[in-house]
Amino acid sequence: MLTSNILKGVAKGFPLKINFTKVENASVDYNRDFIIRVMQRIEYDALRGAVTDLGLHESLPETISDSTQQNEEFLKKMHKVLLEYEVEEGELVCPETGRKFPISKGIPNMLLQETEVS
Amino acid sequence: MNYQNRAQPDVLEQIYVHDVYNRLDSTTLTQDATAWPNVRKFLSRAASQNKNALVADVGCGTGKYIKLKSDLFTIGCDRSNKLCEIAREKYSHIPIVIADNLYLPYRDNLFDAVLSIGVIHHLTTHQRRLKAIQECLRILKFNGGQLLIYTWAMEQKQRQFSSQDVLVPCINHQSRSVDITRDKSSWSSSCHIQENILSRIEQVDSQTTTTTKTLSMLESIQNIFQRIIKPTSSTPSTLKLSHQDQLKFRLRPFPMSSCDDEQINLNPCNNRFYHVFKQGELEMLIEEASKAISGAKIIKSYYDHGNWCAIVQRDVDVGLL
Repeated sequence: MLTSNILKGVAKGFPLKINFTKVENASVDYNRDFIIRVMQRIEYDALRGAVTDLGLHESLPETISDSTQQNEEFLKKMHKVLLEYEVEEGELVCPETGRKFPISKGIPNMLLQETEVS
Repeated sequence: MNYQNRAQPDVLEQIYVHDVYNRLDSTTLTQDATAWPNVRKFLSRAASQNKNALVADVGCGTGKYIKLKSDLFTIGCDRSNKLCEIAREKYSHIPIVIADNLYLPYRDNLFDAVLSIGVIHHLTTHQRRLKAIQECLRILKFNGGQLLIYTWAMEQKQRQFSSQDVLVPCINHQSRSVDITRDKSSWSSSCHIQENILSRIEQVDSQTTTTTKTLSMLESIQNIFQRIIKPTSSTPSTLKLSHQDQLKFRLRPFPMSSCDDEQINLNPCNNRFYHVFKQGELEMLIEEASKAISGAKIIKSYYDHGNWCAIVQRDVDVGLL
């Protein structure tokens, strides 16, 4: 899910909507320090959108304050959502163009068609 | 494959880079598993610095740098779907994406560090190499993001490149060394000991004339190639394929594997295109690329194991403060 927060579509195309047919849940070692650091980089609203797209029953607060970002429970939830859920099969949809980028075997294919290349 | 509507640099790269990587068997591809020590150091420094978390490996191949540092989130991208799949099989749950390094699917100003190891030397024109660097810089964070670039150097200890734009055959490791006999030409074979098990035979000079009546497949392709690509890198190369040349590409999309010339059995060989960099050329290219990207400057450049290397840092534009 961290991957989908990093990727963008054709021009500005962010955030990409996720359509999934298969999601995997893997267990990843929790590194508090890393989660605090990576929180600085992610687009939080996009992440909440991704959580909804995947139909995960994780309630994330609408806004986060500095204190939320130090809260252990919140950080553990972030860890789960960012690193432990992955789309194995599905697609990423560009909000600008509606273009669908397929995900197969956990690998998104972000190659552009010739017509999309200026 | 229909090459009709494709731009020429695209066609050349498709044939001499992408198709080759997709054709090599997975054992051969995974042989190259050694992480360059200086790249490892670069990543260690990035990991040890506070607030660093995200790294992009552009042209990651089979992913040897992606899982190197567990305290960094490194996402790889490669043009070859085959390489991405191999990486995914090798390392479970590795973040990897199929993408073109000229159109990176990443948000602006995002990554703490970016790697471009042995990638831009596969691009056939100056403009494309420039764009590749600009894309890497675009995705770097503003304050202190660092890009590490490695490109194959023209200046080598154990071999001599005939020009900057070369086709370098690589042999599938499972075959024995290829016995090549040709009239009036010389092949030099050299092994890159420090690199990987793929041994490369390089054609020394395609200028030699041949008295054989029919040009072998290799020579025809080499001749087209030499005519197309200008040897100097200072001016952007413009590629013009004559109609006859285009036919050659269309008829024989895989020149090596469809070669039925008995004299040269190159079946185990695949030729990859390289633009090898002269000393100083990488720095010039980076400086040109940096004009379009705010705050980027070279902080270190060096020679490492036959490669010209550079670290580019992106800082907040002092003029804006």
